[in-house]
Amino acid sequence: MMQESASTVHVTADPWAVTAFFAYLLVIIGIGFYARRFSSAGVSEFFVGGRKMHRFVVALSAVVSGRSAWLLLGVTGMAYASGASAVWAVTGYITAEVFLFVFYAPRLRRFAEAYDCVTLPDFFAVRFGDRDGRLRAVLIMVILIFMVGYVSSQFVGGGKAFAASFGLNPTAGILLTALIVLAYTTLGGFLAVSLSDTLQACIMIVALVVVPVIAIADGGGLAAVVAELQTLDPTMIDPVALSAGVIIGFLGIGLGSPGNPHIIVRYMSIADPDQLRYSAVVGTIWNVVMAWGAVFIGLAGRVYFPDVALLPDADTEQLYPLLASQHLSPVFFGVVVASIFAAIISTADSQLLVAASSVVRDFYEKILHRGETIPQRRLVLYSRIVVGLLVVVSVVVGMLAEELVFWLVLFAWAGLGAAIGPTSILALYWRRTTRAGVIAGLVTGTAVTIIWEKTPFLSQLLYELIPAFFAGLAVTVLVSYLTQPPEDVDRVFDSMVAQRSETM
Amino acid sequence: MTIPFILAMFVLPVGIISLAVVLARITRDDTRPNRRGDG
Repeated sequence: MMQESASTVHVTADPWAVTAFFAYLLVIIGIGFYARRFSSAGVSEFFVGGRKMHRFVVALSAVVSGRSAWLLLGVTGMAYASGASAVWAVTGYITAEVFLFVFYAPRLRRFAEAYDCVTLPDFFAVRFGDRDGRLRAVLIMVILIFMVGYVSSQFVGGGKAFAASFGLNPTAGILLTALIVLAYTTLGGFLAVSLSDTLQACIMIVALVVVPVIAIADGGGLAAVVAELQTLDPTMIDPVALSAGVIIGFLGIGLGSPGNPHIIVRYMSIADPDQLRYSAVVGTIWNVVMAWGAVFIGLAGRVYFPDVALLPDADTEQLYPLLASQHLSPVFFGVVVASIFAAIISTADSQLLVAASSVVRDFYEKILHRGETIPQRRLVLYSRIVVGLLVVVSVVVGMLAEELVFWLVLFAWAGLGAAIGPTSILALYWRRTTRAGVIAGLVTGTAVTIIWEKTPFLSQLLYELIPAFFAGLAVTVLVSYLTQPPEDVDRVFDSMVAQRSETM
Repeated sequence: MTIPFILAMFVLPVGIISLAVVLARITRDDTRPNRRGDG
């Protein structure tokens, strides 16, 4: 749900806008070169930044990795169509991520350091004594299926945005988007992805503040815009104009955050787990300002374009770039176009690294060559090759099987959220959780997501993530009660809790 | 501007940020030495 939007922006390419946009691309690729040496040290450096990331970088990269073009194009369009009630679509995930930063993330980060976990499957494998690799294999499959679909959809979205913004052929646009991500992700790994995400978070927040402020000022100020909205349609300024089911569905989007590994792995990368409290505040401010900026864009846009037929192709997702092109200078409009790519690329790069880590760390190193010592430099080389191969696969899948991609993406946020969300929360907080319970929960969460969405009566009733999340939770608890937890559960579990006495 | 609109567009976002600040403060580990080493 968070990743479905594909941009089709119809704007005329202005030389200044193009210059501003390409300057941004050059900086992103430059970051890849800068981070190259650091990321070559080993898989821990390549996939989790050696757990040395600054609290500010973690805050911003965790937030923007989860926000795709859905925020800039989807939420603005939603606010344009339904008014102030669009705030519920952003409230759920932002609140969920506050709790993740403060409670979930520090436990996961401490565990990751104690047992040298680089990936989320590493965490599950150690936590549940997964000696035969069965649990790890299930996780690899779940992650790979959804992540390749995710990355493909980002490339397709980027390609369309390139095509419409600069008149490029859509296929060339997909290839160019893929090449940009490939360049800095292969070179710089996690550090490059985190640093570029931080820059992209800054571009996104600037664009999402400046566009609504200028559009509202040009419209005579906030009071005038709100009065105009009330005249057009009183429900536009009524935040509870939607049915309870829709509002609960919107809030339920937040249940996806603890299950999406491209967000979770950011928490594992911070240098000091205690600093995640600082990241919580910074990340939340960023999340809130970006989200409410998007809602204000939708509201202001409705005043300028009272009828959807006034938008290109009558598509509400085209509001954001259109409004920006009419109210901003060409250079700043280039920044707005860059913000759309920033949202797409900052999500794609994080998903790509998670998929690659599943292949190299989880499958090759921990299953295929279990118990063997493989030189770190060789693993980094393989990681770079796998990132390249995954880019190729994602591009090919995106171009040849676009329908399959969007079918996968339809379930990706909800599927990962319902499978990994409840199982990871229980793994972190409930000693009694067992490996069999987690495997049952992973399968149930994924299956209920797909069945619920494909059943028209059910999908109209409630967003599939909510029943699937609680079904996954219930089955994990039930099967855990029927099976035995690992013998050394207390020792493993205690490594997640802060050792206060040792730090005095 | 109606009260529900003000609550949704201004009070709610400030409330979420305040929640993050409060949770960050109450979960602070006061037993940790601070970065200057005088704690």
